[in-house]
Parts: sequence; C-alpha cells; structure tokens
Amino acid sequence: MKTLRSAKCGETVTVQKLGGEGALKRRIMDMGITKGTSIYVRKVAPLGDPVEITIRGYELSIRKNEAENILVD
Amino acid sequence: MAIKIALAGNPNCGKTTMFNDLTGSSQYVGNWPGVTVEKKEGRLRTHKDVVVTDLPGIYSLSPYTLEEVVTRNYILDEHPDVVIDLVDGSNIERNLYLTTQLTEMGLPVIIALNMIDIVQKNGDKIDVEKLSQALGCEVIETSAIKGTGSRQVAERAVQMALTGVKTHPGHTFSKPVEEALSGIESLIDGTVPQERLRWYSIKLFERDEKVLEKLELDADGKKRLEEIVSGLEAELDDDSESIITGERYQFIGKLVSQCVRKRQSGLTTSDKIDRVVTNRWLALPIFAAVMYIVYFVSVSWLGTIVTDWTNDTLFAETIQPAVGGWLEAVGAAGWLQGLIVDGIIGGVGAVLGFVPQMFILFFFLSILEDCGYMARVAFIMDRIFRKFGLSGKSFIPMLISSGCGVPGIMATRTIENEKDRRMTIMTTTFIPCGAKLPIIALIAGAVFPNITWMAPATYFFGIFMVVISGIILKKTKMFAGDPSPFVMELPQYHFPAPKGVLLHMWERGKAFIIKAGTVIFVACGIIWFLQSFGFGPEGLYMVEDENASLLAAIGGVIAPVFLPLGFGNWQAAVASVSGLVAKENVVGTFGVLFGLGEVGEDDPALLSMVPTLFATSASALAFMVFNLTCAPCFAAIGAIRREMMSAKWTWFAIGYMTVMAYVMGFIINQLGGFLFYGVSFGIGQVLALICVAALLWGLLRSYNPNKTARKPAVAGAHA
Amino acid sequence: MVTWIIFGLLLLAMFFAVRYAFRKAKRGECVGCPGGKSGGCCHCQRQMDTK
Repeated sequence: MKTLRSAKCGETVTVQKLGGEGALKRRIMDMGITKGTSIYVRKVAPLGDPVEITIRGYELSIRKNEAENILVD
Repeated sequence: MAIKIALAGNPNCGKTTMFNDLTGSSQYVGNWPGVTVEKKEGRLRTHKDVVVTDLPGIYSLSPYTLEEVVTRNYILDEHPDVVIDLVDGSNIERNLYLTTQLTEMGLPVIIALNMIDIVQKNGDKIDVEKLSQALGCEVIETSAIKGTGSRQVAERAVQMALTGVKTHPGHTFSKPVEEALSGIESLIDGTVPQERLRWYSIKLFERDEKVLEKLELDADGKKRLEEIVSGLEAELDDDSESIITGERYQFIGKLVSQCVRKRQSGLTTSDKIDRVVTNRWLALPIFAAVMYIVYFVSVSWLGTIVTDWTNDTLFAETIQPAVGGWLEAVGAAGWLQGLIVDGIIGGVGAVLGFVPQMFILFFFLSILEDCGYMARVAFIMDRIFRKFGLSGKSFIPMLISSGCGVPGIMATRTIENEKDRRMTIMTTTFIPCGAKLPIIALIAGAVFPNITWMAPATYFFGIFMVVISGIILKKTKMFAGDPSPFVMELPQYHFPAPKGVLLHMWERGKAFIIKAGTVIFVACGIIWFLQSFGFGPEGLYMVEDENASLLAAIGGVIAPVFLPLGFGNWQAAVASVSGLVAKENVVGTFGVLFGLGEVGEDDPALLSMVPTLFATSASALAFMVFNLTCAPCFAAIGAIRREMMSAKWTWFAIGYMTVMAYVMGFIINQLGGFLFYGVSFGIGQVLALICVAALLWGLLRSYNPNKTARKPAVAGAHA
Repeated sequence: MVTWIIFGLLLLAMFFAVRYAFRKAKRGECVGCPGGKSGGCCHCQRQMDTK
C-alpha cells in the first residue's frame, strides 16, 4: 500500500486509511477524503508540490506532505 | 421579536451573492466579537422585520477553526429561527456534508440548491424530490447570480420560522454507531434541550472538545462515555471522528448516485488550459511572462503615451493656461493664481495624469482574476512559499494588493495560522499598489527612459522582498513554526465576462480618482502653501526662492536622514513624507514643486527636473525603492492596525517595512553608485556591504526548531 | 474681492474633502468605496468569502 504522495499524475487511486490526527486529519476528511473514496490525480505542480486531485466531483489542492497521510491503493 | 434567518454554506457557494440579493443595501458588516471573523447582517428586502445573518463559509462544524466555532455557537446560543443552507449544485457531494450536520441541530432547515444554472449548463440532472426526502428538508433550486429562486427560499424560510417546525435529519448512522449514540443520549438526557439531544450525542461521540467543555459531564459520565466510544473504536478499528465522517459521506455518496445524473465528459476546456498553464516546468515562466506583459503594456508602453499626453497637452498646454487666463481676467490675486494653477492643478494634475495607466493595469488584473488564473497561481507559488514557511494562501492577499493594499490586508483573514497571518500582513504591501504606480512611472520615465522593463521589475522586486522577508522572519523565534496546510479548492476556469471585467476595473480605478479629488487635492494645497511662504523678519511672506520656504525648512530637518540614500534634499524628503497620506502624493508633491510643463521657457517640466534631485541614477532608484517599500499610506496602516488588533504589532510592521526600505535604498545607492556610476569606494560602500552581509546571514542561517521533515503525522494548523 | 471669494470656495471644498476622508477613515473604508466595511471594499467583495 502506498500513500497519495507517491501516486502519479493521471492515476486513479482508492483511499484505504488516513493517518495523522486532530485538526488536519479532520480537515482532510471534511473535504471528502474518506475510506473507500476514489481519487484522481490530475496534476502535480511545478517543483512537485502541491498536488491537484479530483475527488467527489471537484478539484482540491493538497500538499505532498499532507498527502503522505493518505494511504491509498 | 424579529425573525432571525441564518445563511450557511461552503465557501464559494454563492452565499455572498445571495445575501446581497436578499438584503440589498441594508447590510451591516462587522466582526464576531473578539475574533477576526467577519459578521454580516441585514434586513430582508421583502420583510423589513426579518434579520438575515450571513454565517462564515465553512465546510463542516468541527471544533477546530474559528469560523466553524463561531457558526455553531451562533446556532446554539443565538437561536436563529431558520437556517437557509446554500448548497452548490455543481459540487454537491461536499456541500451536502455540511447539510447533514445542520439538519441534526434541531432547528428548521431549508436547502437552496444554488448554481442550478451551472448544473443545467453542464447537462447534469438532479432529482430534487428524492434529495429532499432523503435529507429531511425542503429543497428549492436557485441561481443567486441570475437572481432566480432566492426570493422563494426567503419566503419559505419565513413561513417555516413562523410555524417553528423543526427539521429532523433524514440520515442515520450504522447500527453499532446508532446504539452507541443511544447510550450517550441517555447519559445527557434532560441536561440539554430535547431537539439538540442528537447533535450533542454525536459531538460527544466524536470527543468534540468544545462540547465536552460546555456539558461538563461528571467523572462517572465521562468514564461511561469513554467506554462507549473506545469500545466502538476498537470494534470498527477506527477513531470516532473518522467513523462519523466516513458514514456521513457514505450516506451522501449513495444519495448522490441515486439523485444526481452527471453527463459524462472527458477533459474539460479548463483541464486543457491547466495542462499548459500549471505545467511543472512552464508555469513559472508563463506567470513571469504574463505579469511582465501586463506591467509593460500598462506602464511602459500604452501608459506612458497616455500619461505624456495628459501631462503635456491636456494639463500644461490646455487646462493650466486656460484657468490661469481666466483667473487673471477676473482679477484674482497673483498668489491665488499660483495656488490654483501651480499648486492644485499642478499637483492633482500630475497624479491624474497617471490614472490612465492605473486603469489599464486594473483592466488586465481584472481579466486575470475573473478567469480563474490567479487562483491557479496561488497553487503554483505554494511550493516556493512553503520553502520559507508561508502557504500559497498568503499569495492571494498579495495579488489583491497589486490593486490596493487595504483589501489585500483584509484578505489575510482567510489565513488561519496566526503567525503566518501576521507575517503576510506585514509583507503584503511590498507589492506595488495602484497608488505607487505614478512613482514608478515617474522615476522610470524621468531617469530610466530607455529601460522598458523597469515597471515589471518593480512588481517582481516586490515579490522578491516578500520572499526574503519570509525567509528571514521565519528564522526568528517570533515567526518560526510549521507552514499552514494547503488544502484549497480550485475553481473552474471561465471566460471573464466583459461587463464584469470593466466593472471591476472601474471599481478600483474610481477610488483613485476620488482620492485625487479629495485627499490629494487638500494635500497639494497645503504643500503649495508651505512651499510658497516662509518666515522672514516681518513674519509670513511669499518667497521668491523656494529654498527659503517653510516646506524647505521642514524638509531640511528630515533631509539629512536620506543623504546615505542619495536624495538628501528637502524636496525628495518632503515628497516621501507626503506619501504617508497617499502614495500618489509623492508625485503630487513633485507636481506642485516643479510644475507640469509650464508655459515659460524657463519654467522646467516635471520630468526634466526630477532627475536633478538625485546624486546618481542609482540614487533615483534608491528613492523609488524606498518609497515603494516603506510604510504604506495611512489607510493601509489603519487596515494593518485593525487586522493585527494590536498596536504593538502595527508598529512592528511599520518599523520593519521602513527599516527594510531604508536598508535596501542604502545598498542600492551606495553599491549601485559605485558599480555603475563612477562613485568611488568609500565608507558608504563598506557599510552597504555590511548590510548585504547581514541580510545574507539572516537568509542563510539555520534555525529549525520545529523541523518535521519526514514525520508522518503532522500537527498542522495551530488555529 | 474676487480673490477671496474663490479662495473661500476652495477652502470650503477642502473642508468637505477632509471631512469625507475622516469619516471614511473612522468607518474603516477606503476613500472612494461605498458599501459597508470589509466585504464592501470594492475589490475584495468577492474575495472575502473565499477560504
């Protein structure tokens, strides 16, 4: 199992588990990233960070070190 | 008692538009007490006794951010009679997440399914009936932008408020969770209002710290609660918050798959554009090129043409002689002619001459903003910003500052992290605002007429100052800390509406014209007076030589301070100080002092006189840099004061900016003069080199007490 | 005579201008913008609700 951080541009992955805790983890979940959700990696910004994903029908921008906490398959 | 309607919803769902639509001009905007979260209230246009409160845009009702806490406290303590939940139909899943939470709070809720026009344009279909049934409340389709539906929603809301029928959530959680919730409910039954029982039990299940504080369970209750929650957490192998959140989204996911039919589409046009514009390698060069073109066209090219015409032809050849002639004809005294023609028209005219440039600049900036490009730029800049501890969110205030610093400073409210916020407030006025444009254009035009990239360069210099300030400050104890998380929504690209662009351009530009007619008008009058009169043996008299004037005397006191920067004369000193009132005054003051392009052959023109103030061209550059970077105008200082909410921080911000401005000006004058303009190497240059060294030290030293490079868990936003 | 009339008008205009500026400053708005505080500052209206 890898993290969202290592997902490549154009890949579609499914969320398996969320790491982290407290406010940040809650924020990530509030935005719709929950277990079983499908994520499409649209774009990786210049210099590799942040990452733009499509989730639940909208686009979200998330840092690579936050993406680290999202375990996907 | 007046009916209270609360307006809730995600950020960017059109809430403000609907609020404006419902309340018209009867709004009151302030802050929620004690916090920098904006509070907007107004009266319903159709029912003057109904109060509408616009709650902050939130994604959820967690206890973690200020906006969320303010909103839930409002609903719990202020007892609104009904909540209008604005749901963005084109982004429905995430929006409904908040809906599920609102319907649990035990008050009437009605859903306004907004942006229905976009939904229809996309070809998607939403079964409103089914949605309404499943969620437990009425759903009315609206398009706040087009103005349809909002009246209806308000009417229904008022009716609902009158009948007082509370909404019950249509969703339930899984059996084990429901059992746990029942258990918790029995713990607090009787201690909270019946209609809120469910909401409180869910919050307790999530171990919501604010609710725990509020309910003050006894030791026994706390133990029982912990047993229930931990038990379920162990059983489901997940923490309670995640369980609830996950199940909410599960419910929503299923609901949406039943009620919403999306038209399948491949890459949208937005995506195709993004491919190029935010491409890993091309994005930054493209941004640089775009800003270069914008500033080049506005200032160096089109702008200069228009401004030259305005100054030379319109004012100098037409208006000034005309007014002067008229005043003579009616027999007005000589000094009055001087005041009006040289002082006021000269000064205000000099500033107004640059207004066309401002409008052209604002025109371009409006296009860039309205089409959605600028949001992408924040995304691109995030990585660079993060290197020195700011997030891309700090970039948006900087963007706005390129028009006017005041709204830029206010826009920092979206930054949750207090330290980042303060740092952004302090540095956002480094980006040249519209009012600084005349300064740039004047110096560039008068001293560096052949360097067409001067104007864009100042914009990039502003960014450069923000960046190095960030690096240096982040390494000090005051500001060090983890960068804010950057979880940001990106809007779709869309073709900017011409009407919208022109409107925004006019909005920003209008302010400067009014400023010219008021603040600058008065300032020029005062400057003219001070420059025309002096104290002699018999008291006040009109001076022949302006060096004997009051202004020269005042300026003479300050001027020595600027000697190291190459402009230690009273004229430049006075101009700089006048910039505190409004940055345009720097040019306005010169306009009063030098006249615009006067009638007589001996009377010099603005452009040819200004360079004489400076020892070398490097000094002129230093002057420009100093004025662009030092303390902003009073209006901006006022905004800083309000946003910092602390006099100490305000002074610190102003002090920081002015000191940096001075140091930069010093370095540029000393080293620039030495390197390019034949100034010999002396103590000035040595000191300048020491300053450079000090800056480099501040930039390059290591200070990372909180470095959490590879740690998986992150503390993230410390609200 | 004319001089003083014109000068008087000028002073009057300046007085109103200063009063206008003070009022705006007290309410915390930029010179030239209508509409209430913060959200009303012309250009940032749309941005304010953005988070």
